[in-house]
Amino acid sequence: MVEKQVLLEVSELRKYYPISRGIFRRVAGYVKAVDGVSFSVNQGEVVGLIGESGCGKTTTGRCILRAITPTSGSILFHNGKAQDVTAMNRDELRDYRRNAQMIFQDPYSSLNPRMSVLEIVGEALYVNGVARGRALEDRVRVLMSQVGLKPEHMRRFPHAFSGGQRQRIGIARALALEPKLIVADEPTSALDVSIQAQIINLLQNLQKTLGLTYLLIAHDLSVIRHFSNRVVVLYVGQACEVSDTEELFRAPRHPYTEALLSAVPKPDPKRRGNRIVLGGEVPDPAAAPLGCKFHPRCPYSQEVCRTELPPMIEVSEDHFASCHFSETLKLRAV
Amino acid sequence: MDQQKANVLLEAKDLKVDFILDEGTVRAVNNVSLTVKRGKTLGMIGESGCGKSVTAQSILRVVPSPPGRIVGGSILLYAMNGDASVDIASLDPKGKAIREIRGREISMIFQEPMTSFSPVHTVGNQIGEALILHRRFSSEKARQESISALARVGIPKPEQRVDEYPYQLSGGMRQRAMIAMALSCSPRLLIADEPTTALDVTIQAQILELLRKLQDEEGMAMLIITHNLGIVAEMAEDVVVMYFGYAVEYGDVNQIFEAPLHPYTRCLWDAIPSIDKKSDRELTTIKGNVPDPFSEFAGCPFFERCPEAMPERCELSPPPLVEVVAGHRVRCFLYEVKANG
Ligand SMILES: Nc1ncnc2c1ncn2[C@@H]1O[C@H](COP(=O)(O)OP(=O)(O)OP(=O)(O)O)[C@@H](O)[C@H]1O
Ligand SMILES: Nc1ncnc2c1ncn2[C@@H]1O[C@H](COP(=O)(O)OP(=O)(O)OP(=O)(O)O)[C@@H](O)[C@H]1O
Ligand SMILES: [Mg+2]
Ligand SMILES: [Mg+2]
Repeated sequence: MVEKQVLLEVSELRKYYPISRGIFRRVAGYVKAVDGVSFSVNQGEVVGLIGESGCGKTTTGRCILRAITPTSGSILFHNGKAQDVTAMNRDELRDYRRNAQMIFQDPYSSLNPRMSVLEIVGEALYVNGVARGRALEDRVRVLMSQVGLKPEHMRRFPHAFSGGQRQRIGIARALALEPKLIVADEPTSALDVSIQAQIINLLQNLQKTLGLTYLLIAHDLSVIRHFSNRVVVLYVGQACEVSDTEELFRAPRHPYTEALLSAVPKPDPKRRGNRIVLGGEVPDPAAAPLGCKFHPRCPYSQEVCRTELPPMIEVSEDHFASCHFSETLKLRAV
Repeated sequence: MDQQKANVLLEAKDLKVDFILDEGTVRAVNNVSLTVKRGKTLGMIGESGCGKSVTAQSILRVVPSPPGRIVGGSILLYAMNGDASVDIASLDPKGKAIREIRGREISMIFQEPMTSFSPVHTVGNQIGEALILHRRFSSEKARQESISALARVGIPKPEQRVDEYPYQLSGGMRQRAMIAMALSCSPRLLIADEPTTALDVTIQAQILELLRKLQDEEGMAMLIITHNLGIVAEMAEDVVVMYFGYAVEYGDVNQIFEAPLHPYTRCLWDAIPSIDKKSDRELTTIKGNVPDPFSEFAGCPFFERCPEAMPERCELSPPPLVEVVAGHRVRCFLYEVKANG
């Protein structure tokens, strides 16, 4: 195995949104959308970011791309030298954004309906002064064939393409500036199963041929298992488990991960009914419980879980979990 | 045979629904036949636009019309003893007969609860309305009954929630309230159109468990519509696979998952990544896209994408419906060969 090279290091990342009330817009509290998340992404790797709606996946992704400014924490990007994304000036950010791109969930709303494919895919090349005129068209042609679109369709508008094809347009746009890192936010969840498979294969092939690194946000755990090398599990703005993918599915060490794996309906009628059903709901990130945020729903919770926030500990090599009892609990695999 | 017949609650035969639009005609449901058994769950699966929701709308006669129209076939709803039946497809969609069936014999829940709740009335008033209408309850009795309906679907503090408005409930809670409303008159069939698609997996697990528990208690049948193979495997006894308006395969859930027959079903099964093991191979894809809704096919609509297509044969005439083993039907020429040879 080659030495792992870190590309991205996220430490103690926080993003709080103030909630203001009353006519004087007093700050009445904070939505702690991301509340102290740490993980790293190695060069050429796919890191999956999972967790239920509102747990802070998109917010984490947007902080990493500096689409929004984090409240605190650091995000080191290693590109020759290590630079903190949160402390970059304008010029540095412009450079960084060529290296870090995003693919969105919704292939309908993420493309401007009044722009042709040539304009959509070529925009970044034009704005960054990479190519103009014929050279630009040539580059767009290459990008379109890379993602499996017919280059002769480059003057068409988004409405003339199917959902899967629009997602390919979004991918070509993200690839235009030859980025190192791609944050893919639910890239297949708006697509039908048969089209999802095409897009996953495409993303996987591009990763191999272009040496890309992905942060893959997805709630479909079978997609995560198929596609990612490591997984970060979020619960209400905090990471509760970070692990190699195979190990996570075979031997989860956090009760929330266990419940999440168990809750997924399996496409096998013989396994019916055998699952853990958690009570309650995901807490509001503006009013999360004290202690371990998972304790009100956790089937194993003890007194200490109500009062003390469990630290993230390394339970085995490169496998981290934040549970007071991760060393002793015998949890179920998927 | 009669024994089997007695188990049938609802039977669609060669149902056809068209949407007549300026751009052309969409054959949304094309000769669909299916059976819902008493107290059992039929899972309907297929990709976007294949006619799942329109099939459900036809059963309740709520297909928007115009542009939609049932142009053929029947939907027989059998009475308790199994002999008498009414053909829903031939009823007047605004008539008394269908209104008595809706909500009382058959009710429906949707992906987005806000579509079945009115935002301006309390949850309790909306659940109570059906009770007052169908069961002639007094408003006080309806309110009490609404509270116990909310309690039964696991909503905490039901006596407080009953006076709240739908927007005051969380997504999972709203879905529970909609189920409470749908079940208030103890229907014999509950149609659930993507009931958990908008929910998180842990909440989805709660709702699926709730549906199963209520089914056990009430003995109602369910038609669950989904694009999630896992939900079908978890919930259904029988499965119908739809493609481009056609029911391409129908059978027992074990048959369908262990020995899928239609090439489309097999492709769909292979296209989903496995949650159980890591695989280094690429996912199997289905080439091309779902056809444009206005397309017309002389032969099988899956022909162009089918890995087992037989040129000419599949292209020229519609594939036959073949019962390959008892209760397992498939619409495909591959099996006609086997049946004859
Ligand atoms: N601009 C904002 N202002 C206030 N709150 C916000 C803002 N953006 C996000 N939030 C809140 O932060 C939390 C995390 O949101 P985020 O979009 O990161 O979740 P997510 O994990 O991506 O969820 P989903 O799976 O639904 O996409 C949510 O409670 C959300 O309501
Ligand atoms: N009100 C309508 N007017 C015109 N066409 C319609 C209408 N409702 C449905 N259709 C068409 O009928 C076909 C079947 O639609 P239907 O809603 O049943 O699909 P579905 O299988 O439920 O898809 P999804 O998984 O996306 O919900 C589609 O081609 C759709 O565009
Ligand atoms: Mg998100
Ligand atoms: Mg539908």
